[in-house]
Amino acid sequence: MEILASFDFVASFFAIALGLFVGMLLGALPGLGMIIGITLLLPLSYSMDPASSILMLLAVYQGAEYGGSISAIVLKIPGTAMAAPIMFDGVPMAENKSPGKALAYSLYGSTFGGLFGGAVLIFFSEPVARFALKLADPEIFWLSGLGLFAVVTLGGGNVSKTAISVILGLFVGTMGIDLFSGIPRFTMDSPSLLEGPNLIAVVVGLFAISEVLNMNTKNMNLSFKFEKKDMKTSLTFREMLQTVKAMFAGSFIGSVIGVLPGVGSVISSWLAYSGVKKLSRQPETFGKGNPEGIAGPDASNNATVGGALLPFLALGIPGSASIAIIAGAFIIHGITPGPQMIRNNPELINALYIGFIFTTIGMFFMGRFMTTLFAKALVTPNALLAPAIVASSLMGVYSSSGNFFDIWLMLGLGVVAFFLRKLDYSVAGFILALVLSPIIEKSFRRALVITDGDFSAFYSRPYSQVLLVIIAGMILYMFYGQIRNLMKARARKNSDKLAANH
Amino acid sequence: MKKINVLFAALIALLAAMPGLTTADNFPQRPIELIVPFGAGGTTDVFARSFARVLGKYLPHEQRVVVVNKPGGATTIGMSVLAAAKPDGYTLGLSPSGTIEVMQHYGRTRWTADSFEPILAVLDIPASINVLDSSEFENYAQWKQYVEANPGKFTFTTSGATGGSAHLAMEQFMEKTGLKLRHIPFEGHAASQAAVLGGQVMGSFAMPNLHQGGEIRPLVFLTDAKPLGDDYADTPVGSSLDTPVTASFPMGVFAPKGIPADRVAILHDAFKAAMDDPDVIRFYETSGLPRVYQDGETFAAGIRQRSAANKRLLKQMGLIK
Amino acid sequence: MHYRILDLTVFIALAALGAMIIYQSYELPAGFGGDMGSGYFPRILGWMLIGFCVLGAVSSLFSKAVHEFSIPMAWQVAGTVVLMALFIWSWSTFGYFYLQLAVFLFVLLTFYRASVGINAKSLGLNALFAVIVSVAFYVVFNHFMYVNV
Repeated sequence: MEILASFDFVASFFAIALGLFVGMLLGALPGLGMIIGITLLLPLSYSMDPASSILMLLAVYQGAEYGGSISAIVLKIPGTAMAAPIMFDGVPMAENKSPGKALAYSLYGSTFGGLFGGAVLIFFSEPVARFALKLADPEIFWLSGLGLFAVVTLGGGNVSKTAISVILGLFVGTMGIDLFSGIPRFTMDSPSLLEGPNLIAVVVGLFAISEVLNMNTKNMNLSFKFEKKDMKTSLTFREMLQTVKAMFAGSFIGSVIGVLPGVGSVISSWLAYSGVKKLSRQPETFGKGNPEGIAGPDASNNATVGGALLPFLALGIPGSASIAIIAGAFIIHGITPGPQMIRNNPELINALYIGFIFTTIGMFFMGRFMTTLFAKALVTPNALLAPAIVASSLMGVYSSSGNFFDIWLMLGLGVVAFFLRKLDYSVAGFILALVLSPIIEKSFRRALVITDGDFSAFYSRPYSQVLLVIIAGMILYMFYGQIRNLMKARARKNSDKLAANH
Repeated sequence: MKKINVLFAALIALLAAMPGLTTADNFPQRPIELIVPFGAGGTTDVFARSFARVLGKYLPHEQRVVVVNKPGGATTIGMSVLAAAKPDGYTLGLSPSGTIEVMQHYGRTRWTADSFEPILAVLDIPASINVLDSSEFENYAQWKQYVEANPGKFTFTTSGATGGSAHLAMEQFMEKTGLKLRHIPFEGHAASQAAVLGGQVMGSFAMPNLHQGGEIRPLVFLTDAKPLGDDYADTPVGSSLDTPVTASFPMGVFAPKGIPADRVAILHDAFKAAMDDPDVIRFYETSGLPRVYQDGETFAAGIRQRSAANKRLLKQMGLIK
Repeated sequence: MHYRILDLTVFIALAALGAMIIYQSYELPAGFGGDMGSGYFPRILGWMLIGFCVLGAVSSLFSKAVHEFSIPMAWQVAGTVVLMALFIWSWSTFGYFYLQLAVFLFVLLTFYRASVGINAKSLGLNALFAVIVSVAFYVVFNHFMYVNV
């Protein structure tokens, strides 16, 4: 019980509650993501004890992952690229059935994923972190390729247009200084593009601004009407049981993939969505409001929080941009991130483990309370909603960089995306490709630089071979499904003909 | 619209100057902005914030210092904002000088090293050639022997891009010692650290772990600065090698060029005093970073000298014309 | 406008972008030491972009679905874009973000709610909403985050 003695319960309780509130709020507001939330609370951490301040920042991270799903479901504006897959089923369910239920599946999934990620963090940090280090560029390349493959197959709609969206995303991802030659590419001599376009400006432009313009094509003064009971965010035991398999699969994918620095937090929810769809008994209802399509990717989103924290606590290597900022809080309190942390500050690390679980449980209750408020956004007429979204977008993009170029970029991309969405291009595919592009290109080129141009690096390593087998399996499975569908269709045609002849 | 703007600025300037016409005595009249060209949470940001917290004590009129993050463009965004600011001492920047010494040669920025007035340096980031603790190379001599026997075999990372300041420092080291190493670029410290621990690359040129019993073993510091504490007392420094090599990665405070000399003096003295503040000293100690002071002139001379060397190397590598 | 014409126009524009990418990629330095150079990956993307544009154009030409492309209430969409552009320009030129934000929100709201009717009460409500949102942002960002706008 020594651990508990060094743990200031009251301070931590308030710290976690504050973090969750800020995280959920900023995650749900378009343009204001978790990075801004963590930055917002970082100055506070100077005057707090180390455990409370770090837990507060982790609570922001957890809360924002869930908050991003709220706006994806309610406003059709995912707070981050990671929350985009939630829209596939979340939006139809909210519109056709009940917004409360859609949010409930999202909340239960997030909580399950958070707990799962926490358990992985507590029981397996050291070995998992060591294993993740063994995965090198060739494996990262295959994994991100797998993520891209998942988008193209998920897309539905027009295949060439989805492919074009993905290629455009990959291209925009190459803008900026090339790591391997130090030369800026496609920057049009603008310093604002030297590190590529500001991701927050792009996401906000593509989703928030284009959605506001989309609202403008309809009567702005109407609003959805829902029964009060439709807003309740709770699930019956049976409903929960239905999605347990999806939540488990999503959590597993999220926590395993989340460990990989850089790649993990980006592709996990996408891989989870396609994985859950493959496992489901009713894959045909995906995209039409299947609860598994909400709970699965949401579980994986929150499982990555534990996953991304794992290599940091075990080895001092941040698994995502947000964890890198949280690392600042460690430095403020005089704790140098690194493998020695567990040895030198065991009581802190233990407090973080316990607090992490509390954070997740807290998220559930805070979510129950806050979500009902957010679901009301659906009954707010768009005439009020749209200006609020615009204000929040402007604020979010400006505070992320303080650069007017990014504001204009946001507006321009919003207009372009508005038209391209009308023409069936895939904005979600574009965003994922944009985030993956640098990872794919760098891992591919670096693998060759390290081996001095030897392509066998991509298939000679055992880990790569495992991944290759998985990819080949997925492609075969897809073809098998296509052929089976074709055969079924033909059989039906034949039997129709027979019936007609009789 | 420009005219109105100018008029407006003039009016504000007039108002600002009104309270006391003996400006030097009364500087600063309002809070000072300290631009950090990185996002929140990084080393530079945390440093800026710990200075900003105590600087009020050492400035006349106890004025506040507010940290403003302007990330992006490999520090060029933040430095562009600083270069364009009025040289009145109310806008300063805290940045490693490395990017100034490199970026200006590409001719894509609206500023050069001459656009800034270095006020003082508060830190020299130590950097060493490191291998894994389990490596066969026990010391610099053994490592050098291996590299001489296997030119171009040893791969290392600098946690930065080709043509970055750390990479250029290593190019200079190779040029002087005649050793041949291969630089593998990585996107940031976290990724390159993982690559070293995972054995993807054989070594790194970066700050080593700041504690004993780490997983990384420094062979030689190319900077004269070492991390605080006795952990690396026995590790040689570059200037003591047979062919002396010295690299330096100072971080310091900059103002836009043209700032009045008396204000430079006020700011310099305040920052220098803050370096001796117990809170700031404790921060240096816990972060393990050496408290290396340089006055404005020394700092500026160093920037000029490294900048010239970088220009030559970049030309040699064919990255600039 | 005819959906197919617009569709084909976009394909042609995107293919032109692909051609530009390929052209520009040749100006980038070639790699050394096992690296394929800065232009390699963008060049592949350029060719793929052109390829899929041709594919898409062909399938669009042969598709039987014919319908009009129209944006309902286009004037409202255009109005929003113009108002936003005006606001961003004015903000970047004159500053005073929160003050201008309140005015901008008020104008935007009035524009959206004009169909309901403009009278003293609705104008008052719009102004109230605009001020509340602006003040909320001001408090959060200026006092907690020190974002200076």
